[in-house]
Amino acid sequence: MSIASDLIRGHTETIILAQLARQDSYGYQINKEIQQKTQGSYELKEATLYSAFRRLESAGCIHSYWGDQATGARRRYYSITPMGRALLEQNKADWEKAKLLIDQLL
Amino acid sequence: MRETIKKYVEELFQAAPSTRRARELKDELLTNLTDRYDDLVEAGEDPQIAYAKVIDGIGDVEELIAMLEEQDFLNPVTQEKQRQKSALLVSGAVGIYILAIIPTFILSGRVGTVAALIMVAAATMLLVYNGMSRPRYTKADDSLVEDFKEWNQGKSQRKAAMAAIQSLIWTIAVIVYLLCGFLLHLWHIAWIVFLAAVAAGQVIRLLFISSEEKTP
Repeated sequence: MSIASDLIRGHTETIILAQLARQDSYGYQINKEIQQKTQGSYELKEATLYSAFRRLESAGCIHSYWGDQATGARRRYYSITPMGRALLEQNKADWEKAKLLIDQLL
Repeated sequence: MRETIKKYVEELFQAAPSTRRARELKDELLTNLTDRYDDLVEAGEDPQIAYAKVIDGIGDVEELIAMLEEQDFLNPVTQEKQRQKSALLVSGAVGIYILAIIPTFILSGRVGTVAALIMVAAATMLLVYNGMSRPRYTKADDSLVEDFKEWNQGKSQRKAAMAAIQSLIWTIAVIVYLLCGFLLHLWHIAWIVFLAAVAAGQVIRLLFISSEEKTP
């Protein structure tokens, strides 16, 4: 899984944007959904997740806010911005092109 | 075990700066780790093994903590300061441009014109300094987000360059008009130079638009 992890890590931001495009979410929920969708075969490290969050936020692609928890502790939620949606579409198009190219060559 | 997780995270963040951002990140990490731990235990996992899994899933926080310390160019507070400084420079320059006319009335002949030109030069210097001292964003790594940020900054820099050129054209137009008037006494036709300035300005705009089309 180590080689594949390196290949996928470049797409971490796009994966996160795709999750947030569906609904607002927080760190662990995003990670959980990714694990469920890939039947447990891909798991993001927390550090990778947070680095991606910071980068996306400082680029204005996502926006974070504090939500109230039943237990009293606050949780940080993220939502996608219009710029984030634009980046997501662009990245998806780039990925389709790359996929086609590599499939043709391999 | 939940207390142990908390202690572990505290230790991880010992080397981190005591800023609000660092504290928030620590809280976020702790909440997510605890959630994960609770889920695992609820699904029937042994507490010790759940703890190990949770800790193992953290990954390398060193890079993350290093990111907390680096200067944040796109932080809204620093951007605001930058904007205020820029506003001061530009408004100062425009003011000096307008005031530059005064020496031509107060001082006689060539001296007045020279004084006016010196003030115009000073104002232009302020504008150029303002344009060049915008923070240049260089990519932190090769990720797609960094590419996007760099492109975004490039676009606003081009707009700033165009604005600077426009003001330069108008400055030159005023200078030419004044020179023609005072030195050649051609007041009655020298006003045509302003029409030329409008045309030149539009040409510059077209050039910029066509160069925007080329870059994706």
